[in-house]
Order: sequence, then structure tokens, then C-alpha cells
Amino acid sequence: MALQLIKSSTQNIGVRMRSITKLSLVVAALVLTGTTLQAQTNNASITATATVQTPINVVGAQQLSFGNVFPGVNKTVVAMDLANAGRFDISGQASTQVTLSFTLPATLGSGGNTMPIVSYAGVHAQNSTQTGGIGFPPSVGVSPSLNASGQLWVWIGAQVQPATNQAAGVYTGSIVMTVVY
Amino acid sequence: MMRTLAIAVTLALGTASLAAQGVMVAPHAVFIDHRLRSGSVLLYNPGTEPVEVAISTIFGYPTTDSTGRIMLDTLRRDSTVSALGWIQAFPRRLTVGPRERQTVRLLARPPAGLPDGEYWLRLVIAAQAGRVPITGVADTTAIQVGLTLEVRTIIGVNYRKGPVSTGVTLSQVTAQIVGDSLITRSKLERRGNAAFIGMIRETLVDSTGAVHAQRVGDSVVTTFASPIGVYIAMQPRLASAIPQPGLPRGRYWLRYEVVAEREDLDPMVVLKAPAVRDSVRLVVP
Repeated sequence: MALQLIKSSTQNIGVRMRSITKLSLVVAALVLTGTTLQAQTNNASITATATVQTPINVVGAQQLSFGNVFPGVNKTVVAMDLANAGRFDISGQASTQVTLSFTLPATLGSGGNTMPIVSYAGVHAQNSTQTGGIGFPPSVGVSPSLNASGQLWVWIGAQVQPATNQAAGVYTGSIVMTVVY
Repeated sequence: MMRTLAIAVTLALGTASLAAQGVMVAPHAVFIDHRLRSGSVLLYNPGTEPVEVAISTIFGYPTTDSTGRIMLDTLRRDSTVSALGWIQAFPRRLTVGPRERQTVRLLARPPAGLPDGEYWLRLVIAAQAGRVPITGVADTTAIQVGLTLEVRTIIGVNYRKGPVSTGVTLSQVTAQIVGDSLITRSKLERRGNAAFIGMIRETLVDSTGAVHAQRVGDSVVTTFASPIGVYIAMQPRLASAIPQPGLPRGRYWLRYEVVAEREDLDPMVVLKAPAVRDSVRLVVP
């Protein structure tokens, strides 16, 4: 028994699968919209069509890492710091413009103690090396476009300001990125 | 349908990133037919940690600000085209385990006598991965800093009842070269009773008719294409780059067209509408 795809569908699947391979992600809805079974001497065929749905994938890919923090010594991680800046990765339909907004904590907390976190800065780029990257203030938001492969990278940097008498503890907070697709 | 979708997701596991944390959302736009009154969204966690997901709904539709930046207008909650009051998502909270998938169902209970047309809301998918590793060296400072990353993905939900139609008008097309970028603006106004879902295509040609490439990220294209959804009206600003060494002096034309085509959506949900086109002249001194 042979499985034959309608010619036009085959082309569509091919094009879309290629783009999704580039995205390294895929959700494909296979819908058998019609089947034709024919009794033949040596083989039979069925007709199948497929609809491919491009997903959107937004992930927190890399933490905003401050490394060692000492009392009374401000510590800054700039958004251009590929190794330590917080990074979000977005994947979706090629060249789609998305709206990004951020909820940024003003302080990090540890029990009843707080530590200021200020001077947020962001960079978005259509590649993972920040070539041609564009800086933006995360507090305002930005509306970049995904690249021709449907990908976008966003980095966030900030500064923590531990006081000279900063109490010991684990200070935590949340950075929220909202993507309107 | 969902079963086959799930099978496809399983097939996709090999290419999904395992390092990042978040959920994949598909489809990225939901269209609900009044005859079915339900829809669904699939969430897939490609990561290695469970992801807590909260689902909510808001009213909103894309528009543009004064700079042409696309934004979500969420102010007119009492709009007659709002479906916020009668479409609900279930479940509202869920945990998606590593490499697992979950389905969020959308159920509509439209009011009696709802006029034909299209109604909108936005689905908010808030995903919080496990707490990120704490940084810092405890034995020297005893101060450790950690930040939790959370992402909220907002996608459109369009509910269609009865005959729906769409179209778009195009006016005020402008184009200019700024540095190494081609910047365009236009005014798009929707026609009919449903959102116009389509693409903007831009092609740059010189006085001989030869097409000049544009750069989008690391790719060079002969026609720049950007998906667009015109719900009421907007004046989008689009930017593409001119590959080095740039454009020689001369006169150019930007061919600008808006078409009701989307390869990322099921053709069944993309309403047909006539394409609209315009051209504007560019001079590189």
C-alpha cells in the first residue's frame, strides 16, 4: 500500500517543514481530510493533506546572573553581557512584529530584608550574538520583529545595590516578560 | 483533531530545545466557529523542569501608537466586539511536566441574539519555570541573588458567527532610507465585519525595474514580508535593512502590497479579501 500526498499539499508541507526545521520547533496537525482506498492488483493509495500550525515559543533561556555580591558594592550586569545577562528567546512566524513589555522588580527580597535592583537595560537582536542588536529601556517596552527564520533574542541587564550592612540571605525576585503576538 | 496534534508534537520532540524553560503555544491564533462554540490551545513543555501555567483572558486588539509601533489596545473592554464576558478557558491553572503537553479548552456561551460578526478576546498564558539557580558565593558574602523568569504569551481569539467578511484599505504610504534601513509607514483601515489577517509585502526596485534585496536579520530577501492583523485601523512602521554597500544614487520605487494570505495559519480561517497595492518613489541623493 502506498501513501500519496496531493501534489499541492506536498509542496506546502515541504515549504513549511523547512521553515519549522529552521525554527527547531514544530507542532504539526495532521488532518486526514479524505481517504481513498482503491482495490488494485498490486497497490492502493490514500490521499492525505496536512495543516501545519506554527507555534509561538517564549522561554527564559538564561538567568540574569550577578555572580558574587558583596555588601556595599554595587554590581552591574549589562545587557550586552552575553554570558551573564538574562536572556529570553522567542520563536514564531517569520518577520512577525511582537510587542514586548516587562514587569521589573524594584527590590529583591529575603525574608523581611530587601536589596534594590535598578538601572534595567535591554537589547533585542535577530541573532544570538547581538550583531545589529538594538538597545531599549525594558520599563517602556519595545516592538521588534522576528527574523526571517522566525527568531528573536532579548537580553536584560540590571544593577543590584547591596547596602554596606546588607543582611545575609537569599534575595529573589521575578522578571516578567509579556509577549503580545 | 487534538489527538493528531498531539502525535505531531511527539514527532517534534527531537528538535525542541531542552535547555530553555517555558511552554510552546500552538496555535498562535485561535478561531472559533459559532456552530462549534469551542476551541483549544496546546501547551508543550520542551524543558527539563515542570512549568506552572496560569491562563486568563483579556479584551484587546492590535493597533499602533504614534510612532507606528504595534501595541495592544485593551481599554475598550465594553466594546461590542468583545467576547470577554462569554468565552472561558479551562483549566485556569495547570502544571506542564517536562516534555509533556496539556490542552487548554475554550468554551463559548454567547448571549442570545448575538448579531452576526466577529468577536475578540486575548488569551494570556503565563508560564513560570522553576526558580533559577541562586548565584553568589555563600562562604565569602552570604549574600545570594536569584531571579525567577516568567513569560506571558498573549495570543488572539477570534469568534465568528454567521457570515463574516473583511477587507482593507491602504493609504498614506511613505518610505525613506534612514542610515542603512528602509523605513515605511502606511495607513490601513479594515472593511467588513471581521479582522483582516494577512501580510504586508515590500519590494524595492530601481528605475530599470531591477529588484534590490533587503536584509532581515541574517537573511537577505528580495521581498520583505511581515504578517499583519488589522482589527480596526493602524499605521504600522516597518523596517528592513539595505545590505552593504547600500543603494547607489538614483530613483527607486517601493512596491507595497497588503494581501490576505498567511502561511502560518490554516487557510480555512484566513478570510479572503482583495489585495491592495501602492507604490512610492524613493530618491537616494
